[in-house]
Amino acid sequence: MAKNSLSARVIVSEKPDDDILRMVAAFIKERGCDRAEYTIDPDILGGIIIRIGDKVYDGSVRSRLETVRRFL
Amino acid sequence: MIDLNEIGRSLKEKIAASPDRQAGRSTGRIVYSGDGIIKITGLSDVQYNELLDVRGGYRALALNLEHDSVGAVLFSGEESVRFGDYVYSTGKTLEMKVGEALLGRVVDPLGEPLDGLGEIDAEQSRPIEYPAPAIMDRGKVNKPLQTGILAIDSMIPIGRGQRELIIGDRQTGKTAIAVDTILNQKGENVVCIYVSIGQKASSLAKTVNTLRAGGAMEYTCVVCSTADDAVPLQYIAPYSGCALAEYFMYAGKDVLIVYDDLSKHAVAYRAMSLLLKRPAGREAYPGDVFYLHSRLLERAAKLSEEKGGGSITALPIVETLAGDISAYIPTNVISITDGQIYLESELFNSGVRPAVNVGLSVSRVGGSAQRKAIRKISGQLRINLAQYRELAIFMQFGSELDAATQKTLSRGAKLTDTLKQRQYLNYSVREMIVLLIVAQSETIDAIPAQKVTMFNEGFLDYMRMNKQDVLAEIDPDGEVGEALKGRILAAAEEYLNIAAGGGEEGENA
Repeated sequence: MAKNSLSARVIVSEKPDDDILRMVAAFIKERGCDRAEYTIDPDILGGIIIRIGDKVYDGSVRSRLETVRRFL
Repeated sequence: MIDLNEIGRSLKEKIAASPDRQAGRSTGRIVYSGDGIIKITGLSDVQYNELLDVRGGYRALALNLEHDSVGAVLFSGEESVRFGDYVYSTGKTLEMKVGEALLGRVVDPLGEPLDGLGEIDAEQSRPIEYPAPAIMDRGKVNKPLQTGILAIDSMIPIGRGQRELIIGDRQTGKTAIAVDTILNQKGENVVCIYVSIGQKASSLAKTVNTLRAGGAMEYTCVVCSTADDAVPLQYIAPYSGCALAEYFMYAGKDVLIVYDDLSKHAVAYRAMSLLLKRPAGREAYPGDVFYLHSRLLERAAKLSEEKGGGSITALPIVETLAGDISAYIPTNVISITDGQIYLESELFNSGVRPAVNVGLSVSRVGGSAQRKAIRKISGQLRINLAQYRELAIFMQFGSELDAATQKTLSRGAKLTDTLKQRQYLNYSVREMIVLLIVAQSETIDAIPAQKVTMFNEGFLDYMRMNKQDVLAEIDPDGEVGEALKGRILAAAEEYLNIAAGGGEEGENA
């Protein structure tokens, strides 16, 4: 890995279990990143948000609800 | 009953169509917001003209890509967007809904309905910016687009695939000509698109009502942005309308598109450019204001037969100030289009309506598309009118005139009167031929001055009712023989006698 490789910021709603940790590690490795900083934020209501550089993979329940709200 | 399943299904469809946030889109944060402009840092892989998704569900268009930030314009939500909000790229450029479903509808520049007639069920969409047809894909303009207005169809003929500018001061009947032309396409198999750019909502409502009352909405779509719409919406309106027109053109149809009007479009673009801090040029317009209109009008074309033979005829409208056609935007658009119809307030106020200035109006390609009979008959018209005007100016000096000059003058005045035409009273090609034959014959001398317009309207009614056979015999693509001409003139004299008998009524009418 390059010296200045990015660290990924991962936001989850509750403490992640081992399965999730493993999946996240594999996911970010594919995208050239080997460290993950976890933040626990109950506000996202569930799911996961992974941020690598300025790329965001937003799989949170909150963002899905926002999408639904837009059409109601 | 409301069908819950139906609601659920449509909700699912909409969510599926909305940008996918899990796909790993690049993001940025708003670092400036004001006057509908936002600046964003981040957004590493954004493209020019890309649609952006602002937190809260607002949309923006990326227009300035700079080394440390991206400048974008908001379509809505100016008041709600906050400093630091996330902005997501979408990987898409703007698209307009297209399809038959849009005919008869009033929509905004993004294809959303504004007429309260329910959802638009359009299956396809097209990018609003699209390259113009290539040179080899184009055909020759060879079919006329009848406006139904005698002055235009006889002297400034418009062909399908042509771009003819309508230019004039405010209140000279520019929109009226465009609306009359749309109304005249009934039964002609031409799809019409009326694009309103920054118009007053009240005048737009009037136009839509006129089209609806005239039964023209069946084949017309109105794409509108009113004066209170966000500036970016006014900016994209003509491109959206054109995308819809292209859908029909590439499907082999003939389309008429009216841009009402491009001077307001240029003003909207100027506002946007100045706020985005692009350098200002002449009259504070940005440097690419010529390209703004040329890329739009180049998309109007006649396709070759191999490409389906469809066409887009564009009627852009430009408003001048105090008749100044040498201002920046008017000269630009004049040079891009294939001719112009120049309307004058002086003519309009003196009762010449449509107020077409025949001397300054030209059509550079329409002549070859004109119907043969009309071309033949109206060949001398322009010259005769020019001679009359020259003499009329000379006459103002009050010199004594010989009989021949007096005759030229009275004929010229009557010819000018023949070209007057009430709004919404369109003539068919055959009727135009009849009027032109009478106006250029001896018969016209018998009609009292000031009564020509009245005579024409009455005479056409008379022909329609009593001389159907004569009208039917005229072949617009052939030649009008001497015998037929004689019958037309005989009918005119017949009607004159009748009208003279009941002259009292005529005078009071």
